[in-house]
Amino acid sequence: MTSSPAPGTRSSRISMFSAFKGRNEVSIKGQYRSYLFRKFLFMMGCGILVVIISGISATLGSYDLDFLDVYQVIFNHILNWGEPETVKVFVVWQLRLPRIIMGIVAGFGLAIAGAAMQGIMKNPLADPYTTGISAGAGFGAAIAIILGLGLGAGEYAIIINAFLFSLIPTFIIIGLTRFRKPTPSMMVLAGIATMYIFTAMTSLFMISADPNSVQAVYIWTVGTLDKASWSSIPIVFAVMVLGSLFLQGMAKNLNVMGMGDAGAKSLGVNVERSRVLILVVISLMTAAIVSFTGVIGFIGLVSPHVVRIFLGSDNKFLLPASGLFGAALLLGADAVARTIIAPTILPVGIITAFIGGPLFLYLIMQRKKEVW
Amino acid sequence: MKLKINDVVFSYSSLKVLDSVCLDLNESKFVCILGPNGVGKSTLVHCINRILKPQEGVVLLDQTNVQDMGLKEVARKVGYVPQASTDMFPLTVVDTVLMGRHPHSGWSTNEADLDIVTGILSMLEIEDLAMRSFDELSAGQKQKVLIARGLAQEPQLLLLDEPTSNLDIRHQLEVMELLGELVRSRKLLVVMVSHDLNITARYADLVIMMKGGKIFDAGTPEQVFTENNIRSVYGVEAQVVTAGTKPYVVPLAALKIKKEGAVSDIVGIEGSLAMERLEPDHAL
Repeated sequence: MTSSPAPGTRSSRISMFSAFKGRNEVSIKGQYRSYLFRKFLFMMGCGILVVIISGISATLGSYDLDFLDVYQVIFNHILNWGEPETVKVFVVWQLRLPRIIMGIVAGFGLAIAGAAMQGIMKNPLADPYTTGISAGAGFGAAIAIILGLGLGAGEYAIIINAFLFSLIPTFIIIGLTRFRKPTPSMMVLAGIATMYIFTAMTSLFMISADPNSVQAVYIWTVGTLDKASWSSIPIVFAVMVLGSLFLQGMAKNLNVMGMGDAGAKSLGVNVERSRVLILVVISLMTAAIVSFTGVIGFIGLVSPHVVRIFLGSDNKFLLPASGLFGAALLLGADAVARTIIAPTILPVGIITAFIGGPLFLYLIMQRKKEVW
Repeated sequence: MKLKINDVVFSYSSLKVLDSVCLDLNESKFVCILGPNGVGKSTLVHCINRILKPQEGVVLLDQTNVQDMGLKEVARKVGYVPQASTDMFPLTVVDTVLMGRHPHSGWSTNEADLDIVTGILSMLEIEDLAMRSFDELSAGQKQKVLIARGLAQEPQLLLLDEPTSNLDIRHQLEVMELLGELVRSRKLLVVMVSHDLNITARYADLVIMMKGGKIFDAGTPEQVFTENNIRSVYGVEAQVVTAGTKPYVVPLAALKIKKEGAVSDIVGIEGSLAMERLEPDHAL
């Protein structure tokens, strides 16, 4: 090749390879930046939505409060910490806020776990429960409720049982990786198998249980924020924050893994190890949430899909945005659950399914592609 | 980049796919691996970039066994362009090509990564696709994006698995021309798996013809593309003519294969000659 190739030829283009500062390149970078900016805006929007829905949610109930009252009460109480609680403060701080914060934490955690699960499974139908966590947790709760068997006493027996049993399917999958490569299909199939086993065992106990216990188990499996309290929030919050940070750190790996195992390995990602690690973290997060709230469905499935429509599939943005959207969605659903046939409060899982199902069908009809 | 493959044996459970493959490539060169389906071409490529671990033998990159290197370390030296890529959750073209920077960069994408990626998009003349979603592209455009991703790894050795299989004739020529230029201008060693004899004949510096998990013949296109070789390796009766300075293979008829391995009875060049041509000092 000559030292000065004619302009416009491929050789001249190659020589520009690293130092090219043409107009096109500037415009690509400009477009890319504005594309990133739009993503930030969407995330900010979701964040603001969470704040607004939280405020609205805190106004709902028999004690009348308006939106501004709620935030005023919260700020005043934080600024004057330790002062005796007025009725307003008590209603907001003790009755309504734990439920709202649990809603945010659970919604965020389930949605980010769902997004990550869809990423490692490369499957749009995956959600945090795909590997059988919900069935395991349901069985753990059932034996605590029906048989009274469990670690800890009373309410804690259910929580601890649900947590421990929900992790069993994940342990089974990790055990199977000794014999088989942890491919998405292996994980999903193993999850379905353990799900059937646990569901069958739960059914067996429920057939012979008294009606009150059956109802309690059933309500537990639908999921509710009723039992949220300040004492339960710190542990769920801590697991959710640590798990989310870890998943965010794996976001680039998740992107690369989406391109197929061979391609991902050729880009330096240890696919099998990453997949198992992410699965373990998703399982811990989901187990922690589920053991306090029961199995709240649809948040982990729907939120990532909705966010993908607006943000695309880049996991660096998809994960946090799904979390924020999931928090807003769960809070919204809970607000509906509390008001739709007040004073009876429906389990929020019923509402998420009622909102999530039609929303999902609508989104599917809107899109021509297989996924978005 | 020096690539040395020593007696590599690879089996999928009981099926031996690579049988004592040896190869020694010392300088930047456009190398094409040819052979019928299932002969072990892709497996060989996967052994080179540590996707697969051979049961026997070693692959050395600049005298270091790839199995002793981390996946990221290999990915910084060896770029890879897969046959085709489907992504359930597709990203934009820029984000897809940015993945090629993964082995080099940390958690975030920095300005330098973006510079490299935009430079490559310009070079491949696919800037206009930059913000499009990968799954909306045509097969040919996808292939170019995957090549761009391989180049974004800034490798010294670029492996390609049938990169021109989905392309029309013009794009095939463009890609081959580009790879040839990269070999010369950037001193890349390019190893490409191909099915197209004539395109390969036009552009390759070194052709490696595989059969039954072994290297059957290797050399310049003129040396390798003979009627005998094509009959022995592919079981195809062909006429080899010269078009310009390069051989051109005109396939005539598929030979009937009576039983497994019967084609091998039609003897072409023996492996020993191939090995001689693969000696590093042998002028090609």
